Amino acid sequence: MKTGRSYIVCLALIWLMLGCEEEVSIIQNKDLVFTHSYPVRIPPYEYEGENGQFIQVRGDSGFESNSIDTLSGEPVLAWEGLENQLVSVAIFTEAIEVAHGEIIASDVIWKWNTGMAAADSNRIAYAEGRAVSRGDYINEGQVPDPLPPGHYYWAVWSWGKSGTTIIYSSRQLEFYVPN
Amino acid sequence: MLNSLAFTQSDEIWLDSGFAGEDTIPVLISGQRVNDYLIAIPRGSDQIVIGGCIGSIFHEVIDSAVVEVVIDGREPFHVLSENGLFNFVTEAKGNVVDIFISHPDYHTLDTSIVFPQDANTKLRLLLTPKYRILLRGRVFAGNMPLEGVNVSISHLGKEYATQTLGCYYDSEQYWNCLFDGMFKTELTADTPDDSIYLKLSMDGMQSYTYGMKFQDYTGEIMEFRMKYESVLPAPPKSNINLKLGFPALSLSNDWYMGLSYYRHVGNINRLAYGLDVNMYITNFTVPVETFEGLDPREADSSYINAFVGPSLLYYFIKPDTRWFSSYAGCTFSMNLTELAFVPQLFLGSRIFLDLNKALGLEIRYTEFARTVTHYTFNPYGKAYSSEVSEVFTKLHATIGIQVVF
Repeated sequence: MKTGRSYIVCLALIWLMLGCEEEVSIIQNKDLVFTHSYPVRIPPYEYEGENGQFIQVRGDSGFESNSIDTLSGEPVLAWEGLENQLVSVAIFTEAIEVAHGEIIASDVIWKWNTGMAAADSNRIAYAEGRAVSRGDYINEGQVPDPLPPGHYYWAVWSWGKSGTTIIYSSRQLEFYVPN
Repeated sequence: MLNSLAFTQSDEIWLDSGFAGEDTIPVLISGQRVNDYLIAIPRGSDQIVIGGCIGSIFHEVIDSAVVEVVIDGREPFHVLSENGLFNFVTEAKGNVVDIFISHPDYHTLDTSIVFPQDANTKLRLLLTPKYRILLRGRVFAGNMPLEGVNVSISHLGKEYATQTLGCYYDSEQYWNCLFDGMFKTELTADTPDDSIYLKLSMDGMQSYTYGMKFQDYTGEIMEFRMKYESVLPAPPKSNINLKLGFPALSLSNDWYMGLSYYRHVGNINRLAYGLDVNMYITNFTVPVETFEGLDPREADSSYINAFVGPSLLYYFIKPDTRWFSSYAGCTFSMNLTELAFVPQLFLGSRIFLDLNKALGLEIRYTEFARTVTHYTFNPYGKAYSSEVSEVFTKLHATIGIQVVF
């Protein structure tokens, strides 16, 4: 009788141990580029433009107030957190689209990732990234040309430790580059 | 006239009229009650009644003491004390009355009185008790009380046999283990220097002998620890084994769980056949190349591989050996994940914890193929995955609990 009880307790413990395997359970956030990810916060910041003037970036508050920043052709993109993570940030010519857990890369014109050098891995100058066409880098080893005037979108996202799943992403932020 | 005090031979007998000593000696039975008792005895006109009470020097009433009376050397006659009182009626003539009182728990009292002249002669007889103990003990195997141990207690050539108790349902239907492994025996000795010898015996256990003097017994429950024999009392017929393996016991960081049933083949005790069900929980790590200039990342996946199949084993050390009865065998198993035949070779040993439960140690070798997921990094989102067949080689030590029956 005692032995039978011991077996049941052992089996229950094993079952519990199997059931305790970590699962990534993220609440859906439709504002984010990757809706099943933790948010990357983009605070308001400013940077010094090419002409020496300081340019304001509203960050997440601009998204919330539905305002669009006006930035220079060589913007600085900044965010909070994500130290020591695998991070990518990109500028798009069209609104960012995600299908089957993957960004449709055809509209990407500039990109930076943690494999590239940067003075501050949370604050990337346009010159530290690379120009992209149809998802691939172009003009490797060259500083990308400044953005022509237009309406752009940008976002930052990050993978989990294994590099297989997106764990963090920002909202899609918009800016204009004026003439 | 007879001087009644002259009849007292020692502290053990008090002859009085009215229990003169009552003021100083605690009373077993009141003098009034003894008076009433004796007066109520029917007797003839030429007869007298001699009687009184029998107690111990510790003022206990003694029942069922045999009082043998001899008057002037004539034929003896016997009376029994009832609730500590006794009497005998005799002709009112004689010289000496010899009284001999015996009881198994008391030293015999042999005394004489001059034949009394009173119609009612009251005696108070005090016996000295023998040395008596209630020997209590509890028998353990390790820390577990042991039920059904034969306990033989020898004293002066006499042997008292008893058994240790087990658990039982008490009168309120509770499973009561208060007396599990316990025995008790009441023993009486003439002197506290008497020796007693206890012999404990049980199938599968080494005999245990213990000697002591009566006076050494403190009245507490004695504890005896028996040791197991080196072989089981009977060769086992079957066993059920639950086995667990942890990553620390594995070459490849696996968890393992197995359940097996084996039955010995007829009279060939060393050979057993049975069914073995087991599974491996494997963590498999694949490298994931990410951005240029960065070290590859590692993606872990868990896989459960379950196996079931008939099994055959051979004990190269006899299965009824308590320590390290060792075996080797093979499970002809089916990999339930890939539906493929997979032989599993194993080598094991067991150590019995008691008569039917053993701790099992086993090393199991298994080699099998299964598909695992590999990943290709995607700089725009979730990594691409592909299924690749890999060969898993498992050498896993397991710890198990085995029930033998």
